[in-house]
Order: sequence, then C-alpha cells, then structure tokens
Amino acid sequence: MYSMIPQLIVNSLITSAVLAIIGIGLTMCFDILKFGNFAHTELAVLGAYLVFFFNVQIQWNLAVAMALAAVLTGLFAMFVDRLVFKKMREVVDVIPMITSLGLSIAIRNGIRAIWGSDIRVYDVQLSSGVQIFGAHFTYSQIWILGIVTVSMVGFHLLLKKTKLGKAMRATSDNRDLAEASSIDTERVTLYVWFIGGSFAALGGAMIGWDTQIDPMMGFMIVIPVFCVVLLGGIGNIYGVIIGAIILGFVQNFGIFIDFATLINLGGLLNIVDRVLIPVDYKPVIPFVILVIILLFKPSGILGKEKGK
Amino acid sequence: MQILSFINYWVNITAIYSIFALSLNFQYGHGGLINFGQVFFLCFGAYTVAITAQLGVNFAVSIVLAMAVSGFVGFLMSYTARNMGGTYWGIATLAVGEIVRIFFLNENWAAGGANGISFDVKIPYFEMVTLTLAALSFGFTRAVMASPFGRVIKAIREGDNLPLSLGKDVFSFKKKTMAIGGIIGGLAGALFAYQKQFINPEDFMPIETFIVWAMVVVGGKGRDMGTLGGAIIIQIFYVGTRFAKDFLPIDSNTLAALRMIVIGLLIMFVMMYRSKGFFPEKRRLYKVT
Repeated sequence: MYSMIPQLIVNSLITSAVLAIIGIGLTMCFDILKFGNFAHTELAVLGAYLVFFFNVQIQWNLAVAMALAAVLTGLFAMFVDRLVFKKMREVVDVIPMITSLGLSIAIRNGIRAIWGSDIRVYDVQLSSGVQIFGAHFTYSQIWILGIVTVSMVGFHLLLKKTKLGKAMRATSDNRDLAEASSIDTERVTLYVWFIGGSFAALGGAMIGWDTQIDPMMGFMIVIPVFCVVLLGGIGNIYGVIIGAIILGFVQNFGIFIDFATLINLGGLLNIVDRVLIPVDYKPVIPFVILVIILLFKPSGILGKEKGK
Repeated sequence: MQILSFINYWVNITAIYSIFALSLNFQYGHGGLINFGQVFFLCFGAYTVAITAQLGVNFAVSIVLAMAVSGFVGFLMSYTARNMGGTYWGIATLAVGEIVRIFFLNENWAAGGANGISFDVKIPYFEMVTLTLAALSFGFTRAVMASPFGRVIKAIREGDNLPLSLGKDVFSFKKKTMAIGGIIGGLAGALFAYQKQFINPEDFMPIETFIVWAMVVVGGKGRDMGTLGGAIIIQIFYVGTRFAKDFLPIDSNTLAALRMIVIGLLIMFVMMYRSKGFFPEKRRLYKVT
C-alpha cells in the first residue's frame, strides 16, 4: 500500500491539472453570466477532437495541433456566445442553463456524427518515461503538468497585471458598476469565452494525450468539473485550483484508503476488518462530494460571501 | 402486421413518456423545481416493478408499489431542496440521478447489475392500460392544479416571498410537489418496465431526463396539454426517424447522433425564441371585486 503512494500522487496531480484547466472557463462564465454552462465540457471534447484531426488525420505536429485546436475552440466559444447566449443576458438563469443543456447534446452528437463513437488515441510516441521518487511519469504527463502550470501563471498575470484583467475582475464583481465605469463588458465577456474555450480545449487535449478520447467523455467530466468549481467557490480561479487538487487526490486516494480504522475508532472497537470503497464507485466520488458541498456550503471553500 | 405492432409500440411509448413528462411538468412547470435527475423516478419505478413482478406480484399491486417507492424517493430528494437555490439543486439532482444508476450498475444482488433484469408478464390490452393511465394522470394533475394546493405551488414557483408572507410553509409544499411528481414518475417507470419486459441500467442514462425536458419545454411548461403535445411531437420524431435508415445512406450510429442533434437544437431554439413553448401556459386572472 505505502509503495503505491508516490504513483497515486502523480495520478492525482494529472487528474487535478486537467480538471483545473477545464474548470477555469466554467467558473468565469458562471460568475460573469450567472448560469451553469453544461456545454462547457463539450468544448473540451471539441478541442480534443480537433487535436485528433490535426494530429492524426492530417499528421501535423502535436504542439501545432494543440495550439490550433485551442484557438479554434476559443473562437467557437465566442461564436456560440454571440449566436446564443447574448440574447439571454437579462433573463432568469434557468433559461440559459437549459439552453446550454441543449447545446451540449448538440455538440456531443455533432462530434459523434463527424468522428464516430469509437475510442481514439493521438499519434504520440510511447516512451518509457522517468522515475521520480519511485513514481512513474510519462513524458506527456510532465508536459501536461508544465503546460497547466504555465497557463495558470499566465492567467494570473493577465488578471493582475493587465488592463483586460482589471476589466474582467471589475465585470465579475459588479457588471452594472463596471459598465458605469465605461468598461465594455460585452467585450470582456467575449474574452472570457475565448480564454475559457481555449483552456477547455487544452484540457480535453490533455485527456487525449494522457489516455484516450471518445465523444461521451464530456458528460463523464461535467459533474467533476462542476464539483471543482463549486468546491472552490464560483468565480474564484484560485479556488478552482484548490478544488481540483482536493478532488484529484480524494478521487485517487479514496479507493485505496481503508476506512476500517476510522469505523473501529482507531482500534477501540473491532467491528469491521477492511472497508474499502469499491473501484467501480470511483466515478461516484465527485458526485457525492458535489451533493455534500451543495447541501452544506454552496458558496464553496473560498467562495465570496454573496449576501442575501 | 408489422405496422400494427409498430403502432402499438408507438402508442405505448408515447403514453408512457406523456406520463413521465407530466411528472416533470408538475415539478418544474407548476412547482418551479428544476429537476435534472428526473430519470431516477423512471429508474425506481421500473426496478420496483421488475423485482416484484419476478416474485410473482400481480400487475396492479406492483404498479402501486412502484408509485409508492418513487414517491418516497421524491419526498426524500426534496429534503436537499431546503437549502439549495434552484439551479444549484438542478446540478445536484443530475449528480443524484447518476449515483442511482451507477448503484444499479454495480450491485448485482440488487437487480442483476449490468446484465439487467427480465421478467415475462404479458398484460392483455396493454395499450388500453397505458392510454387509460395517461388520461388518469392528466386528469389527476389537472385536478391538483385546480385545487388550492395547486395555486400555492404555482405561487411558490414565482418566488418564496409571497407565499411566505401569507403564512404558507413553502418547504412543506415543495416536499409534497416532489412526492406527487415522484408518484407520477414512478407510474411511468412501472409501465416502462412492463412495456420492455427487460430493464438494465443503460435504460436510465441522463439522456432520458433531457428528452423529457425537451418534451416539457417544447410543449410549454406549466400547461399539461402542452406537455402532452410536446411528448407526442418528440416521440413521433424520435421513433419515426428510426425508419430513416431504410431509405437514407447512413449507418445507425450517425443516424442516432443526427437525431440527438435535432433534439438539442430544438431545445436551444425553443429557449431562444419561444421560451414559453409552443403551447404557452394560459394566465388565469381572478376577478377582484
């Protein structure tokens, strides 16, 4: 059991990195536009399939493929906002949310119609990777962690050091006030969609790089990504990172922890022998965490307290 | 003969989905509860019937049991609505629906796990039974909505403050709304199981919830007649396009994908241009004298 810990840490970090980079777009969109976008993870799947197209179908270099896919998905997200969600800025949140549900069904099945339902892999060379502290990293995993770190730092600098970042923070704090200070909130919203879309595409591509892709994976990750966003508190991008780390570790370690010690009160009682969460229930862990957060602390761990 | 059995199938499935859509319309259209886990009612209803029918329980009793179980599930689910805002609750119910499905998928002792559960009970004149029960459900929701209880849940849909100011216990009304919705949904699940004679967790994917949402929003939320219209339109489209592969040069996977694209776009367009649906709810005005 203990010899597995380094490897579990690596797996947890990869899960966290992917969830974080996808979650950033969702949390910004949720914060500025005030609705939960169910189609957000479909952007990740679209990005993953665009990489598949460039990398496998027309045999381009993976780096070029990922950059192109990120830009194209970002543009697609902007286009969707112009075409669909722009009409819904003033209505109650249920309507854009249901619309995003319809959109997610349309995108998912569009991908299925174009690329088919089969599982796909990228054209990456299998390499032996490296051993660090007894854990095995593949080179793609090192790249994934690197790219996510760079993207996060870059986004942090964008928010804190640039005029656009300031405008984004102002819009997220109070849209009307930002507008009154002559910030073009519509333009800010477009940038948010672009960044969110490209980050999601990178995240989706990382799933494909590390493992494999299929058209249904967007639905598989939508609840975990919502879970990460709500854990961190809506609109809090640092919260997303922390939420992603928590979820990544809980999901990977959860199925290895023996709860018997806990139930026997650390040796006081002797009721049970070994209590493990069955492996089949690994995907359920984020769902349960999500319901628990929503029940007890919907504002998340680092959430801004939005007064009643 | 084939066309006749096909019409039978269509009538049954439309009647069953109409009942299912009525249950969602009751919760969302009338009660304003955004339930994205609606499929768990179908799931509990169907599994109750499958398990009891295997044990030899008769048709009527198993259906009543299914409705009771499902209603109870709805009642339990409503407890999570106490401190959750509308859209948050929607996300949570979606998660709960998946938890339920994964439970049935992995627990072989409960109902066969991934292999599902089958039983062989033929109900004579089944389409008459489904149509009658659909009509009864329709009459039932109409009657409930015409009662004082119906007026209160409609008021709650528009916001908690007004009913609270009138001394109505909002949470208790939400519990009842969920329980009634669950009972109707359980009926749909029970009939679904009798129609298919075989159920497995694949039948209860979240997509079922989204299809029934499409029925309610296309038809017009808050109007039972509209919901029936939506259910009929979506089912004609859904079942009818199965034949498209006979005269179109596409494989069944692409066809299924194209069909779902249309459903997704339909939900989007209705929300964008006719957010009240094609048969919008009629506003009832009460004369003030």
